[in-house]
Amino acid sequence: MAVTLKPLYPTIREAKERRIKLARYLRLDGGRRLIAAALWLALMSGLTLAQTGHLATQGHAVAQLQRQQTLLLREQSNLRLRLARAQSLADIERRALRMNLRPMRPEQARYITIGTTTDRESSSDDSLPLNP
Amino acid sequence: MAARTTRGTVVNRIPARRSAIPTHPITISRWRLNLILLIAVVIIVRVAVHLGSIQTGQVRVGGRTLAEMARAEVYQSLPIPAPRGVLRDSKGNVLALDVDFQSLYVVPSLIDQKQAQRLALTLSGLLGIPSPDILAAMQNTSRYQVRIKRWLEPEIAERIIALDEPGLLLQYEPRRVYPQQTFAAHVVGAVNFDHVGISGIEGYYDTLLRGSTGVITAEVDSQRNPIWIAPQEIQPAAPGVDLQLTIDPTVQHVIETELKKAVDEHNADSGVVIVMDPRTGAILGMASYPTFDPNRYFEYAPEMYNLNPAIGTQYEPGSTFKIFTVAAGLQTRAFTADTVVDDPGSVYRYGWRLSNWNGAGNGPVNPEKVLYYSSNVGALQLAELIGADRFYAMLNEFGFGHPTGIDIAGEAAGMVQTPARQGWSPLVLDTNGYGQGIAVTPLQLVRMVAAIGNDGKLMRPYVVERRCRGDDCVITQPKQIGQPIEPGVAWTVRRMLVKSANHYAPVVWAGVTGHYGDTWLVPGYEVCAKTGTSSIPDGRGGYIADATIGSVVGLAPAERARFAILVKVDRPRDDYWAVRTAIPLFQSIATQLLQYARIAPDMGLVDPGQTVGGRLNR
Repeated sequence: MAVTLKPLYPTIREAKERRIKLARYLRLDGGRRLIAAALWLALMSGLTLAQTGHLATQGHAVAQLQRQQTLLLREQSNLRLRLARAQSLADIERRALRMNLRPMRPEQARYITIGTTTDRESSSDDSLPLNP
Repeated sequence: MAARTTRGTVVNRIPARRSAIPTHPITISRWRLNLILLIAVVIIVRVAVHLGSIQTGQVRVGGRTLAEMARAEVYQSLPIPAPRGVLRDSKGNVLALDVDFQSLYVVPSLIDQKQAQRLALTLSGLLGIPSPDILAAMQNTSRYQVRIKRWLEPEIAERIIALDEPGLLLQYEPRRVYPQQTFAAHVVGAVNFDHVGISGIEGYYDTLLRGSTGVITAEVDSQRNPIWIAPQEIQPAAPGVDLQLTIDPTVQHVIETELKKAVDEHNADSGVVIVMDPRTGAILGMASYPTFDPNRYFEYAPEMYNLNPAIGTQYEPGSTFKIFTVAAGLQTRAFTADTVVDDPGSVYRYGWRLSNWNGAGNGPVNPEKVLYYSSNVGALQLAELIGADRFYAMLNEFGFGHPTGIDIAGEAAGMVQTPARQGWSPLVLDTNGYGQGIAVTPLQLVRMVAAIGNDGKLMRPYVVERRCRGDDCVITQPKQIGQPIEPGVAWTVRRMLVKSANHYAPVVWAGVTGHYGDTWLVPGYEVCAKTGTSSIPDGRGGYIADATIGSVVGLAPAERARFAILVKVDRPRDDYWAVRTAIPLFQSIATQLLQYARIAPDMGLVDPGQTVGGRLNR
């Protein structure tokens, strides 16, 4: 079996050299500090701008929704007004008369007694007037 | 070429060549140059400092820094209006609500003055406002905008928008709308142009209905709309409370329709009807005629919309008050149902002659007959049997002379002259016994009758059944405020009043039964009723000769009463007596309400010729 032997020391030396070079790249002198600060500032500005833009978009959406809500509430109150006018008993009576409906005459009523007298008395003790 | 002299001045040496321009050496001292430079520097520094101050907002204008002024321009506190609560009847029908309507403004600076006259004429046709008024508003350049008309109908607003005039501005404004117009107007009341309740429920519950206005503090745009960028401070508005009334729409419709017919038929000045649930004190209906439209309250006299006659007018109750005299005497054991007094038709007391309504005597009468014949002479003797102390104590027990506490604005207290007050004499007790010399409100009287129908329990009348803020509702609980009479006394008085009611029935039924004997006032049912024909004080210690108030109070049905009813017709022109003016009205209302309540008629309570549900056809 063939074994390739390489000297260990050159590899360590190369690694050391590479490490020294890297530090040089990362070392901050005056110019690099300025560039770093500018980058940091740009990043922060971009972040702020993005946040503000997002907030403004959301705010616009909220404002739109509020406007829509106002319109819908106005529409609702108008519909409620129309409903209330239509429910007016005077109007209902007028409409019924136009349809040739007439109030019941007393002699047209037929009263039917159901059950015993006792039942009838107890049933008349209801608590509230019922709708006709 | 320049050379410096010994004095330090600079001398420009001019070449020796001759010139057309005379030459003089210009010399400027160094210190002067330095001075000019210094002044320039000072000015520049001053300007720089001032600019800095402006930039940092240190400059003050009118006591405020520019920064503050700028902030005030951008950040504003805007009100968030709270919608006024909705009013509904007992079935949920809306009686009053807020609706946004567009109001029309003109901006004179944006109006083309050459076209102003034509535009004014167009608007005049749409709005019904004289065109000179509109033109004057358009030419009023001293104001940015001038209001032309508030609360346009939507169709009119649409037509104005279609004109596409830049100088016309439409803005939404809330308006209180009463969709059922005159329906229950005196109960509901009205709000003024500032959205403040001025009468009725609107006035009494104004604070609750209004809610509280909110505030939003935010950055705003040029249209004062909040911009959602900077944080906002919002104090939300609390909407007004919605109120559901005890007013039953059918009951109210019946009494309004019948009251109008009666007032018109008798050519009367006015009239009132109240229907109360005796068991709870809830007002089921309350009508006054003539009435008003709360949407246009300003077109009526103030007393029309400010005063609810059912609770705010006082009148001498007349013979209807004999019910009280009998009830008070039975309760205090001053007499019994069998006690008999003599009624010769007129008697003298303290130098005054006191007579029956027709001057005729009825002979020996017991309390029942006092009510049956409506005997003044009998009633005054019963009052004397009770005695002043007990009589006025019972008046107090029944709540006369005090507001009932109903939740409607404008209630009167009535006037009771007690022995403790100056001017009282024993004659007052006698006249009070048959309902003269005392002033009550219609509500006080119907509450007294309701107590008789409720076995003597006196309830606080109320008209708001439920108060709701969103889904959170508070239901009004009926409140008993006293028991002036025992159940047995109440029952005895009710039996007397049934006979009294049947005594009046021929007014309605004689035409079909063919006789003037007693019969059932409301066939199929026992009802209680007592009439009263009241004289009207003339303000000089006497009474108006040819004017009366006809009224009836009663219960339907007599036992386990569902309705306590008062009807009152003021100054009828065609008939002097209540039995002819108010009894047909009472009978018609009682008949319809008993049918509406689906109370089965008893066919044993129908005389030949009568029809169940039949009523005088006016």
